Amino acid sequence: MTLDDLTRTSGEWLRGAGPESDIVMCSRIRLARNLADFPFTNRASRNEKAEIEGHFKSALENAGIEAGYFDVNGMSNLDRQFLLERQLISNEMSTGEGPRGVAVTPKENIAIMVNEEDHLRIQYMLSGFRLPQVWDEITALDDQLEDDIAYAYSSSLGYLTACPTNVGTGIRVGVMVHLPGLVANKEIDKVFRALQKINLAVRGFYGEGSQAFGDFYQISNQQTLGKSEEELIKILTDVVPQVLQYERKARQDLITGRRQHLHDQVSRAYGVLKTAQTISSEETMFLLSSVRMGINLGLIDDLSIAVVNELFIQTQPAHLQKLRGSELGVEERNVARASYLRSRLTNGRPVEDG
Amino acid sequence: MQGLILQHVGGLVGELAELACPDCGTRYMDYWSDGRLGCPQDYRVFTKGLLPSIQRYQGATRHVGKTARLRPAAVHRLRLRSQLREAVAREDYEEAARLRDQIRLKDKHA
Repeated sequence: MTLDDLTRTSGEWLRGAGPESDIVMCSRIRLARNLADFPFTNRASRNEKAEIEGHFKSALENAGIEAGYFDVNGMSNLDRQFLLERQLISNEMSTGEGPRGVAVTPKENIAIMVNEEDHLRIQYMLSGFRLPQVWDEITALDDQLEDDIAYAYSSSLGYLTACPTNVGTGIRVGVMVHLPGLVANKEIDKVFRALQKINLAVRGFYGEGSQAFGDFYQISNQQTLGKSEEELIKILTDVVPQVLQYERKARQDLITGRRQHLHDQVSRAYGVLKTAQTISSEETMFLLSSVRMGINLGLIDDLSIAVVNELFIQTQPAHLQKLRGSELGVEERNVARASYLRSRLTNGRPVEDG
Repeated sequence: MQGLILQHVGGLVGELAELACPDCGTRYMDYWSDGRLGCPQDYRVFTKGLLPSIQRYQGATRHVGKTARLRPAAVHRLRLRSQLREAVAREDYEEAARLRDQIRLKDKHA
């Protein structure tokens, strides 16, 4: 599997399948793991990082997991940006140094970063609200890797991580939710404050410190020690449905109170995306968010959620440049983005999931 | 900077400041300046300083949940690797070669 193969496909987590997928784009769990016999990444020499990479690759092979390994150290900035836009690597991995990379399965459910802040950052994603299923998958994968890797672990503190904020389970359990209704009725900050009070973090689409993006937010646990993985998952599976309920109510209020206004707004957004000749990334996200909500409320009936989900990713700068096969400046990207949107949305008949 | 660290570390300074991990060389002060530990053994070496801040951030100091398999040989390899780094640094290549062989031998017994 090569990076070019990835440009022609999109991750399973964008399919818009699974429970509550009108609001929950995907469920994600990541585990932080370190090899017991090496210093943490920030203290490891180049040779040691290369050895860690080698150990991981053989563990992956012995586990029989079909995955491509992308050497982030040796790749261009554009390719790093491309993996970042796809949510397969973090900013820290993109800007890091020395031997490092990411293993990705063809459907992109699994992405394992090697030599990020921790030696291994194992990620599993599924579309829709399916955290218990994601846990079953990722814990089995973790067990398989452990056949060949000695994890850094203490019976009192659990899995040992480079930063004590991840020690214990090393787990981050999260959902990516689309909340245009709560943004529109300005209740979103209230909801976030309530989540923060119960120790849940709210981040933008691209994680820590990233701006909200197309009204997508990630909700995840902060505590990693003193509660089991199942308990931490249960906090999310108890709380997220309440957020969904607020979002559904906000959408319902929008459609009952000002149906014509909302229908107009959604149709105009769709119209601009289908016909614009040049368009910025920011405007694209803003309009796609409107269209996505419009589909879920039955105001647009000739476009699938999966296509809209994909467009959020595929209209990002590095994706456009990979699709075009050349580096483009801002103006050129805006023209390429508009052209790509026109072709996807005029030919974009409803796509079957599967 | 030093003043800021002193302010945060407070009374622990005398005891912990000079403490360094024998395996990775990280000093407790290094952790305070960048928030990252150097190797898994640091949790043991710096326990006294770490536990109060872990309690503050995590609200707990004891792991509950999934357990890893016991791999006692791994800790030994971590020590050998630190000796290897030192041997390479002082250009003692004979010792370095001997340590590499030892690590390779232990690797077979992961």
